[in-house]
Amino acid sequence: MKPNVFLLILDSFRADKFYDKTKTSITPNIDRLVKSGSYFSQTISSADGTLLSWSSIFTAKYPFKTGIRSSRFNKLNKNATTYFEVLQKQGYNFYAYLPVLSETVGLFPDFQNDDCFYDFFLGISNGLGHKILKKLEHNQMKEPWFFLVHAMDLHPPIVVPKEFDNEKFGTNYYEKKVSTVDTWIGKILNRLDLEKTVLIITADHGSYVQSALIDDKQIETNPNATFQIALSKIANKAPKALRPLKDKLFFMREKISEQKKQETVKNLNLLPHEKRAILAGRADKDHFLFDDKLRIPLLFVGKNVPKTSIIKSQVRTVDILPTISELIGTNIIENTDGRSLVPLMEGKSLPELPIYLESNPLVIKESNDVIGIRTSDFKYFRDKADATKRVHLYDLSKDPFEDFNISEINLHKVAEMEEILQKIIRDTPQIENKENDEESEEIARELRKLGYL
Amino acid sequence: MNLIFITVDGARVDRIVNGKNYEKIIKSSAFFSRVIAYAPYTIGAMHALFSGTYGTKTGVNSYWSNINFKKDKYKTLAKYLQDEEYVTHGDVINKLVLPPIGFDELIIHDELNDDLTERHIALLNKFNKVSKEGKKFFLYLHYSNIHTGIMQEVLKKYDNFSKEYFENRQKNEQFYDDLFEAADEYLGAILGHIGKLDLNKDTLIVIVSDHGISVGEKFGERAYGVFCYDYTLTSTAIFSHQSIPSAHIKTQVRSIDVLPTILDILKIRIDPRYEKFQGESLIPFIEGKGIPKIAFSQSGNPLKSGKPPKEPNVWAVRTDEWKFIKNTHDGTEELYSLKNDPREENNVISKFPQKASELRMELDRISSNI
Repeated sequence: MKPNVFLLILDSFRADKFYDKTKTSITPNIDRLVKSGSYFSQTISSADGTLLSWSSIFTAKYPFKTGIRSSRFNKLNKNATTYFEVLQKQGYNFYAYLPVLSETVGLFPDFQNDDCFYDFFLGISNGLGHKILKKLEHNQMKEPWFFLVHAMDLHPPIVVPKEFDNEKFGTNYYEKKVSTVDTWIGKILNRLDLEKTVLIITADHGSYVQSALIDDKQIETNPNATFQIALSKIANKAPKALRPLKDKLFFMREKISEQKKQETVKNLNLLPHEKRAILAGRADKDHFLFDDKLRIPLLFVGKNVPKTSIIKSQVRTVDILPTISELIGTNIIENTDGRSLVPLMEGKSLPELPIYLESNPLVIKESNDVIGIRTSDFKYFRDKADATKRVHLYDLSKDPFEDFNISEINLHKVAEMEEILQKIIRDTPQIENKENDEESEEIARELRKLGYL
Repeated sequence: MNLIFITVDGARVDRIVNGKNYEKIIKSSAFFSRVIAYAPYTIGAMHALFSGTYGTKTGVNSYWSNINFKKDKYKTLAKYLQDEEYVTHGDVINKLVLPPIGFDELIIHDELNDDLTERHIALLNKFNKVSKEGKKFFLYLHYSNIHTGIMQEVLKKYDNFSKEYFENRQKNEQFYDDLFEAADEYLGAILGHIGKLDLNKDTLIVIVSDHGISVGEKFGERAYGVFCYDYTLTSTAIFSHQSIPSAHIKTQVRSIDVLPTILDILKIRIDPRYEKFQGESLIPFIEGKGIPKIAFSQSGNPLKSGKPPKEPNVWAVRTDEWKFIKNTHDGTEELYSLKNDPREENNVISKFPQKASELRMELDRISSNI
């Protein structure tokens, strides 16, 4: 029998808040898992938004090759293959808990549980956990199963339960919530048979933590999360015709929030990375690709997973499904960007590959998006449409917080990184909007008339 | 003002400047003799020209990709004019060559059997009546008989590696000259008829060639749509109206500049609901104030397959002085000093690595579009 697979994607979970010396949350369960499996501490998502990241994870291709661009909504290109198709051929049964927007992108298979799509704000600590436990408790899922859970606990707005709203669980709202999540991970572990299950915990992307310790005082700009969620729930129930009004209200709220944040930070002496984190808003027009939103946890534990603890090599979200495939003994899809990380788990070396990065466009209005490349030493990104605009280069070995943009003083490195970026784009043409066979034959007929075939 | 837009498919610039009827219209027009086509084949070239945007953005970057044209993002010449309440009509060689959006009628002629002169004169008569009814019109006329001759006598008889073709350069030149002479006669008849109908007073006449055609310059390309050398990439554009000063502009411009120029002349505002053009109006060049831009082109070398690839595999950037070519099918690169070597016979990439690097970056910058 093939092992079961439990893929837990914790939306907006940053790697440095998952397992790192600097974190202040209490996470005994995560710590235990890291020691019992293989944890990749330098995992970089190809995108800073959920849909692009999903498209990349489940196809093992960089997002721009999948056809999915953003919400409101492009679907997965009909020629793209997902790992669900591979797993289905191996007899896997699919179960999931995903936020409602998942239905629209054509990425996921038919799940066997009717309640697979949930209201946008569910997390394992506020309802989803109970559902997961129930699924695991009574062998409700037909083996071998692939159980996909995407939980929104750490997606803003973040509500910290009262019992965790205490400094001992973390110095800020985000870390307190991480402590909350950890207790639920513990409960899930109690029901999970890791002798016959591969458990993967990761995230789709990171997040800005709107908090900084200034002169021993914690500054936070996390707005009233409970109020925001209530407002969003009301707005979501509004008829489609009122969507423009709903969008307008969203931007108004974001604008007010931005003004408050500006007021909070105006007299503070903040480093660039602290300032951008505190000021970040969901409606920002200018997008960036800092590690805050890209470096995520990636943990494998359970059946067939070597206990190698922490692996510091830079790896990518496109590698997740090829790795799962090797761990459970199924095929890897050819001609993708991903590769299996099992050799690294076994102590072997793999050459580092540069990672293609892309910011997620805003849904409602046009945003200034960027694309880029990350190696373990350097981060490069620039305007998506014009390589000469909004150019950023950071020396990650000397400047891990990406405070100093050195693009103007290191033109050679900019050119080198741009060349890597171009190679990825050029070598792998986009697949969206390709013609189908019938259309292709019609074009061939016309080309024949013109003497070209 | 009406618009009559004539495409002389496959007309080479070295013949145009000596064409009897071409010479007449050139003298009284703004003539751009170095318009670099986005693609050295009609489908790619005309979609770029009609949208003012390279195929990397519009989706039409190969012989196969006209269905990928992003009509919701890129507003075409015909659509602009239709929105301005022009009656729009096109007469074309094939349904693949133009984005159909914006045409009230887009009719396919039979290039093998139709008399294009007769057919297009009949259309001029028809639209003269439309004009007399007080309506503005846009008439697109595609002269396809150079293509017809090349298709029958070159494309169908030889392949890109037929020694017989490349060893008979003189015969090829003569054959092309005969085809061009007929094209020049066609142009004379059409322009004469426009004059006879007295349409030119209130009509902008634009005459372009979409790309050039090989007469055997480079082994491996018997016609066009293979490489990115000047004999196929160099096209031309003539803008004729009494309000436009006559000028011969020899500086390099781009085929994507044609649409913004027409809108500029017709005083049609750019529609902000669509993506911005990559091209820019050429009016400053006519006024002697134009700033040359780097031109970007792509082609699809069929190699030994006998059919064009579905993605471009030859990429080029060009300035008035240099051409850099990247052959993505085999990873080779070429650099030509156009001032010293206009026939692009000596690849100097190893001699000028800095220039190559600079142009490579430009190519990457322009082509980055995802």
